[in-house]
Parts: sequence; C-alpha cells; structure tokens
Amino acid sequence: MDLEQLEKQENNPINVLWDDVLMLPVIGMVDSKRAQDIMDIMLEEIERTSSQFVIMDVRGVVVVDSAVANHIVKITKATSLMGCTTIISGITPLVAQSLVHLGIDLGDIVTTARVSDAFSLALKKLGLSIVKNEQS
Amino acid sequence: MYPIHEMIKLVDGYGIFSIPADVDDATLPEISSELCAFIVQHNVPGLTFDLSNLHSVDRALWSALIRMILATGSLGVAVNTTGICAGIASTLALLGSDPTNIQAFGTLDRCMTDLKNRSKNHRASL
Repeated sequence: MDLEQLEKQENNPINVLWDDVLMLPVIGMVDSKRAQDIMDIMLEEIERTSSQFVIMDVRGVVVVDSAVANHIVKITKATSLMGCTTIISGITPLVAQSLVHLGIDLGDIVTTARVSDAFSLALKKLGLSIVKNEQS
Repeated sequence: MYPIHEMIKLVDGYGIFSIPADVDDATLPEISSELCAFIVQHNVPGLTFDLSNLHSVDRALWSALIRMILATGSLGVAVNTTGICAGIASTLALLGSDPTNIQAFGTLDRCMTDLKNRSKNHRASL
C-alpha cells in the first residue's frame, strides 16, 4: 500500500458497523479532492464487503454548502450503482436550515439527524432489530 | 460477436446476462435485439445484467447499456444489475450518470431474490 493510499484511509476511516452495514464519519472540510477520496474509499469497501448500506456521518463537517451537497449526491449515486444505499446522518438543525436556505435538494437521499437513527433504519431495511435481553 | 445463448444463463427460469469485457457501443444494439428476442422466445420473467467483466466504460457505452436495460424492461420483464466495480461506479458518478433507471445489487444472490419477489408481485397484480 502506498503512502497516499494510507493517508487516504487514515483521513477517512470506514468501518464495518454490522454485516452489510458500513459507516464512515466525515470530519473537517470537504473539498473536491477529499470528496473523491471519500468516494474511492467507500466504493472500494463496498466492493470488498458487498455491503447493502453505508452510513456517512457528516456531523463533523465544518461547512455543508452547495459544493459539499453536490459531492454527497455524487457519492450516493456511485454507491447506488453498486447496490449499496447511502444514509447521510448527522444533519444538524443548522445544516438542515442552511440546505433549505441555499435551495439544495438532496432528492431521494435518505438523511437522519443521528447516527443511531441511520443504523436503526439500515437494520430495519435488512429485516433485523435489536432486542433487549430480558435477563440483563 | 458472441452467440446470445453463450452470454445468457438461465437459473430457475430467470436469466443472468453477462456483458462481455470487450463489448462496445456499436455492437450493443444488435446484442440488445437478440436478447429481447431470446427473452420473448424463452418467456424469461426476470433478467440480471452482470457487469462484472467490464473494467472501463465511457459515456457512449454506458448510454448503450442503459438503452439495452430499458428495452429489456419494456418487455415487462423484471430487470436488475450487479457487478459494477468501484472504478466504474466512480467514473459514472463523475460523468453525472443518473442511476434511477437501474436497480443494482451487490451480489447475484440478491439479484435473484429481487427478481423472484418482483415477478411474484407482478403476477399477483395481474
């Protein structure tokens, strides 16, 4: 693995959250280069694991403007071509308002406020649920 | 060009159509016509396009593939795709491709399950 690839993976740590569910927290600024790196990492992992869902948590993204939104749309389209649905989590009230204010339409992209909601949604779509053990 | 019966495999009556690696946009319309004729002749209720042999696509080839997928779907056949590799997905997203026309799955098993569910629902609605 070359240094650039290693750096790409360190900046964009994607994890298997559950069978068929990946998660990638995005922190900091997202420019075109970073967006391409995120897309590459996500698609390679989807190819490797054949996962059906990827949760992209954008709570740590400094600014979500029209450029970032366009990157997100491209990423979700690419994952969908591989049979994987992207769920965007971490949309804060401020970001939601600024997206509306900027006239940005995320289309059919599934968004949630919290990572836990995104995870619950993915599990539900997979026909799974978390049940509290009565003994504990 | 390859004979159509060498490119399509029937599993439980459903078709898996493997796109050859060296296909180009000029030959696809002819393949598409033969494929449609095959589907009607064999009464295939659903078809998966396996794109795993493809390692690169350009806009012209992708448009031709979409036309073939839409033509097949217009026969009333449930259609889906699998096998799009990371490189192609990335390229297509950058080219601004709209994936709403196609239903993609990560594995052949999921494609088969989808085809069976959709054709069952289709039959139930008739």
